[in-house]
Amino acid sequence: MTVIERWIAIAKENYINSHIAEQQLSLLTPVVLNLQIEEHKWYTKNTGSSANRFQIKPFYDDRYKHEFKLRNLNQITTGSIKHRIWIGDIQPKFNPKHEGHIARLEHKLKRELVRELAKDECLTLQQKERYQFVGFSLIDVFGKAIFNAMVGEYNV
Amino acid sequence: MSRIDAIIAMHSKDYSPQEPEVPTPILGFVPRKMRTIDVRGLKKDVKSRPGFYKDPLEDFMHKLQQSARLWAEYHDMDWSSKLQSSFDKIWNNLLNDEGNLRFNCKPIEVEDKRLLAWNLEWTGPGQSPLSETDDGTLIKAFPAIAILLLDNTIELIDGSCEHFMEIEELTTVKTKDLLEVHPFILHAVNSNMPYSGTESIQVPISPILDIMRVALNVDMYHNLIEVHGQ
Repeated sequence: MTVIERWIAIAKENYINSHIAEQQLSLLTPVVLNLQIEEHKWYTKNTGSSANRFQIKPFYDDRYKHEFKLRNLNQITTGSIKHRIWIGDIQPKFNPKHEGHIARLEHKLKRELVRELAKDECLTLQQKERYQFVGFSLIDVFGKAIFNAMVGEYNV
Repeated sequence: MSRIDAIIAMHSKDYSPQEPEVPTPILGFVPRKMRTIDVRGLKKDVKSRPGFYKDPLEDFMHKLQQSARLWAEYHDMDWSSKLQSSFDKIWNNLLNDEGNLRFNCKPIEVEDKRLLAWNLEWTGPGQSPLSETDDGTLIKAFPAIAILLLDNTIELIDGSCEHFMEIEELTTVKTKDLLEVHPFILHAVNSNMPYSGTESIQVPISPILDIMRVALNVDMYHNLIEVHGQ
């Protein structure tokens, strides 16, 4: 499964998630976000709980329950598992030093998501729009989490 | 690393070229929470406020301040005097000694009413800031042509894509390249480069895209270019 297919999969899981609202994302928290099942065992959560043992490791640190945060930038930069899962070839050497690096990542993820959706001939236009909206919202949340971790480390 | 060390490293396969540096955002921040108006609403707005679109840089510093506040809100930051003063320092670089912007933006007369276009020039003093293209190459951001689409569809069945043909004429960039690199309604293309095609299309972080997003108060990603009838 490619990085973008994973973003599509998480958008699919949250297709009817009412916490992803049209106007604002303040209702959305890690607790209410649905994560897909991942086949690759290294990419699944490291937990003893049978309820979410096969869920994918999320793009945030889910020890924080009420906000999307990363404990530090190392959790998402090149070489990390989360990088392999959620960024990979899109930005192989991801090591953000300023907001521009994050904006570029967001742009590339959004563009590839659009391309991937365009390839899918089984989805209706309405479904594609919803996938795109949910996907873009989650990429925004991802970018914010990275930015906040960066602010903490570099005091930018 | 000295030149000779680099050559040795390359031969010992220890060499991995540095990824090109992304220019820092010219405004000090990446515009967020801009207007998510749909194309229909955009068309209406252009009709009702032609002056706003004719001179997007009018009152630019005020627009900049508003956008910076939205940016702070987006990142859950308080709009503090410390934040304001650090932005003020960055924004001072946008101005010349007389306090005028170091770039200008003039509308281009277009035939197709389904698009708006502007010429942006760097008047200086100083060198034009840099922008990035899709392969990571850095190019001068100015002079540039910015395009805002008021119709984001390409109809392949009835061939209704004259607005994209006009964009091709204006920018010398092929529509397929534009769709490949930046499939959103706001574009920036360098207009005075020995390059063409994908090598002239700016992607975030582009000073032109950032300036135009603030000037027009429009979200870039909200509206995609749609190709129908494929």
